[in-house]
Amino acid sequence: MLEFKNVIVKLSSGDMTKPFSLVLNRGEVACICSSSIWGKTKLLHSVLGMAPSDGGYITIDGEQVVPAAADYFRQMIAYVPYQLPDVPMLVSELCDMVFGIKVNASAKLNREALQPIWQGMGIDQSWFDENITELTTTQLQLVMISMLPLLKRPIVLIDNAPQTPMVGQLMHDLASNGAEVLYTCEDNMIASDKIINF
Amino acid sequence: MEITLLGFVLGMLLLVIPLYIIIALDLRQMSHFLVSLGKLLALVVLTGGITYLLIKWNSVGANILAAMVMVLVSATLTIHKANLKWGRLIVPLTSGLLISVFVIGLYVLFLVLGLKNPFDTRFFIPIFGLLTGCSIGINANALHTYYMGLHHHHQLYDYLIGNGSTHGEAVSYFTKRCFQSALTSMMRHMSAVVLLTAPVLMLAMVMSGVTIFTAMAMQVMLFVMVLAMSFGSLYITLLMSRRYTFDAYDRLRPMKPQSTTVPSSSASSVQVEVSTPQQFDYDQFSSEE
Repeated sequence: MLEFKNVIVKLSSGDMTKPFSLVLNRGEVACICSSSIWGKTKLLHSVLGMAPSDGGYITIDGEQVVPAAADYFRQMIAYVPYQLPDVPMLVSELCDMVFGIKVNASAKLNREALQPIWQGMGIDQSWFDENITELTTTQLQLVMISMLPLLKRPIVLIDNAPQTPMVGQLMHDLASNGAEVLYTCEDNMIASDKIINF
Repeated sequence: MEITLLGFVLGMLLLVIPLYIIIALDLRQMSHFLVSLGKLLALVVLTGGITYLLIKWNSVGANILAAMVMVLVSATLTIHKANLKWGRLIVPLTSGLLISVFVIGLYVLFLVLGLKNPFDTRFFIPIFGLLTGCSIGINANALHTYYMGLHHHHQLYDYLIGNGSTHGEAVSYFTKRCFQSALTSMMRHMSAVVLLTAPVLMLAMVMSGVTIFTAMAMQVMLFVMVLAMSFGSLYITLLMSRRYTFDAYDRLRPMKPQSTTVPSSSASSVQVEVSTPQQFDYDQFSSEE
């Protein structure tokens, strides 16, 4: 269970939001909707223990997210960022990099496991051999989102999720498999169980 | 071979040629040239004087102390050349250099040169001097590549860290680039010898009476030992530097010497709206101010 308690977010304008609370249970999809990019990204980074919270506190399964415990919590989380990698690297290399990290070792993930998901999402298989810098932001985000079902993490965070029915369906599929899905966006077009508007 | 005072003066007389060209062609670099020449003389006199004293004492303790000073100077110059923050890197880099230079240096003195007393100043100081001196440029390039890569392309690091990777896994791409940079620098030097620059060490050894085969072997050995020392010191430096260069939130601390300004924030509040769209149950907060 992911819980925000009296959390304050500092927006790109420098303004601070009013404290808000949110409880995200298993099987739920929640949205944080705001025109400010900075605040949302920093909020997700706070969940990941990669930035301090501007106010209030965040807990996962009742335990507060603090730097000392962040490594442990991050192994429970799958994360799709808004600011995407921009180093020269093939999509296949990026996928192998994610599949190859220790926490995914037991799942024995590989490119073949990803192919049916790509077919379902209508992603061209030739993207594997594309350089990530040649894909658009949305295309690269779709590649990252397509890896989420394989990672099988109890918490899923998507920063600035593409507002398409396909992505919405994938998030609900993840939730129906027991995941807690939290995404951010500027204008929400996806049906969610809970929405926070800044 | 000895250079007498008269010989030295006659040698310095060759300066007439560059000085004449500088004046005649109005190169407008006379002051820079004289300052550089002065620096060269000062540094040569300083290091020569210290080496003279060390050879005179021939003490193990003094030699080790001199090696530690060389490592500290090398680390400082490396950080300065890499344009990174001294305070963040001096401890890990000095440690990395110290361990590598002693391991590689003693290995060369013991096993390669086959010395019974590796702490003999005549060999100990030149080998340690070559190792610490030749690694400055290579390590500076490599560390600059690593930290500027992480600074400018942190998105890959953030993505991997956010998905539960270890620190080592998250920086693996940048570590690879760092070692690639070190190797490229070294290969550039290797391929330039003879073709673009003179094999100074070999020629100097031949002049001082060493056989040509030993001089050739030493010239090749110089590159091998500097590369090994550089890789070793970089590995240890990157391993140790996490504590000094990343904060508690696993974010890279500012690494450039110039201070960065943080945007100021106002204390005004913005409305937050929590809602459950299916039930239209909007739980709205009002502004405090």
